[in-house]
Amino acid sequence: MKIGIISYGAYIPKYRVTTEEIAGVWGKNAEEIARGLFVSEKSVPGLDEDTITIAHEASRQALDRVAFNPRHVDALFVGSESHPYAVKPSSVTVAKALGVGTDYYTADLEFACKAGSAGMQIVSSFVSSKKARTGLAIGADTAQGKPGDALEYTAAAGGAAFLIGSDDYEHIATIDDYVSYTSDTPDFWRSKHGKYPHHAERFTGKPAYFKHIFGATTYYLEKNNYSPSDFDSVIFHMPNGKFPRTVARALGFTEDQLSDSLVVDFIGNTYSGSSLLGLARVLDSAKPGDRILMTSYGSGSGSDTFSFTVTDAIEKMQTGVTVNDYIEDKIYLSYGEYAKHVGTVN
Amino acid sequence: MKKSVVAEWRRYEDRYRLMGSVCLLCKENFFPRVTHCVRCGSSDVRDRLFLREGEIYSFSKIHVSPEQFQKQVPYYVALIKLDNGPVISSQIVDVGSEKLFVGMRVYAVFRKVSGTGEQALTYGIKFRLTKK
Ligand SMILES: [Zn+2]
Repeated sequence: MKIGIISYGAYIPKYRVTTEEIAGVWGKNAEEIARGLFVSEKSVPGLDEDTITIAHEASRQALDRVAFNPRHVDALFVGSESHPYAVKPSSVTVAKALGVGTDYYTADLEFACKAGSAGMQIVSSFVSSKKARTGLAIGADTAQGKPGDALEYTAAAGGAAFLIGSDDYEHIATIDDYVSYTSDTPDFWRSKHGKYPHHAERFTGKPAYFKHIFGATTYYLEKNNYSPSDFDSVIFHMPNGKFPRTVARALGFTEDQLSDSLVVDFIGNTYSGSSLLGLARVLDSAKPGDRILMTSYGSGSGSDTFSFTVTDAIEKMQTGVTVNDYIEDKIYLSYGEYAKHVGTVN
Repeated sequence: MKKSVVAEWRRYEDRYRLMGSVCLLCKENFFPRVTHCVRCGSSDVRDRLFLREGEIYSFSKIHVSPEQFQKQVPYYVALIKLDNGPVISSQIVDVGSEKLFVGMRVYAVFRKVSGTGEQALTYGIKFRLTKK
C-alpha cells in the first residue's frame, strides 16, 4: 500500500523582532551576527499563542484545504519542546478544538527539534500497519533563548501539520521511505524545571548537527539507491541559515535544490516546526513529479530522513494561504515588547 | 477572578469550536448553546456548528481592562456577525497598523484565554482580520 501526504498546513505568528534590536540591547554587532547566522529577524508568538494554538492553526489549515472531516482523523501527534504543560497533553486540546472526536491514537512527542518529523514517522507507520487510515503529524514550538544568549537571535515560533493517509485518499505527495540515525549526544538540553536550554557551544556543530544529518541522509540515499541529483528540492533542519547550507554542500546538493526550504532566513529556528515548515514551503511551489528529500535534526541527538514524490493533485492545493504569506504578514516589536511576549517581563 | 476547571470543561464544545444552538421552530441561532429557545420558548433546539467566518458588526478599543487581560492592552473587542450564525462578542487579535471598520471580514482562531503560573490554561475562539 502506498502512503502519502493528503494535505498540509503551516502557521507563523505575526510578530517579529530583529537581530539588530536584540543585539542593540546586549551591545553586540548586529551586522556581524546576522551575517554569521543568516538570520536578520525571527518570529515571536502573540501574547495568547503557544504550542497548542500554533499546532491547532496549522492542523486546521491542513484539514480545511481539502475539506477533510475531522472525525476521520485516526491519529494525532504533536511534537514540540515547548508543550505548555509539563504534565497534560497538548494533543488532546488540539484534537478537541479540531473536532476529531474520541477514537484516535495520540501522544505528545519531545525530541528537541525533530519531534515533528518523529510524529510523521509514527503516523506513517500507523497508516502502513492499517491501524489508522489517516493521521495528523504536527511540529510546533514557541522556542525560548535565554536573554543575552546566542540562541536568543534564532529561537522562534511557528509550526506545520501534515495529514498523512492510506491510498484510500488522494495524495499530493507519496512518502517513498523514511529512516532514522540516532545517538546519545549531549549537545543541547533543558532541565526538568529549567526555563531556558543549555548548549555545549561549538559541540553543537560537528559531532551533533552535521554528524547526524550526514549520517541519516547518506544512509537513506544508499539504502534506496538514490543520489543527490535525483531530487528537485531538499530540506535540512535550520538552527540558523548557515548550517543547512553547509551540510547541503557537503552532501553534494546545490543551493538551487535547497533555497525554497530556507524559511530560517526570514523567521529563525522554529525548532520542531523548522524542517516541517521548510517542507510546507517547498510544497507551496512544487510541481507534479518533483522529488523532495527532508532530513530533520533534534539535539540529543537524532535525524530523520524522508523522501516524497509529488503527484498531479498538488496543483489543486496551491490556492490557499502560503508559508510566504505568513512570512510577509508581520508586526515588528521593540525589545521591551518582545520581552513581554516571551514572558521575560510580566 | 477564579474559575472552576470543571465549569470551563463543560463549555469546551462551545468555546473551542463555535458550537451553538438553532431553534428548529423559529430558526433563531444562539451562541453559546441554550437548552430552550430564548425567542419563542420552544425546547426543540439542536446543536449547530457555526462557520468560522464573519464580519465586524461593531468594535471598540480597550485601554482599561480586567486584571487578567492587562498585559494585552490596548486590544480590540468586537461584535461579530457570523456568516451563518448570530452576532457574538469576541476579541480581535493581531491587529497591527490596519484600521478596523464595520463590515470588515474576520475569521476564527483558537487562542489562549487565561491561565498563568500553576493555573490550568483555558483556550477559546477569538477572531483575526481576513487577509484575502
Ligand atoms: Zn424559537
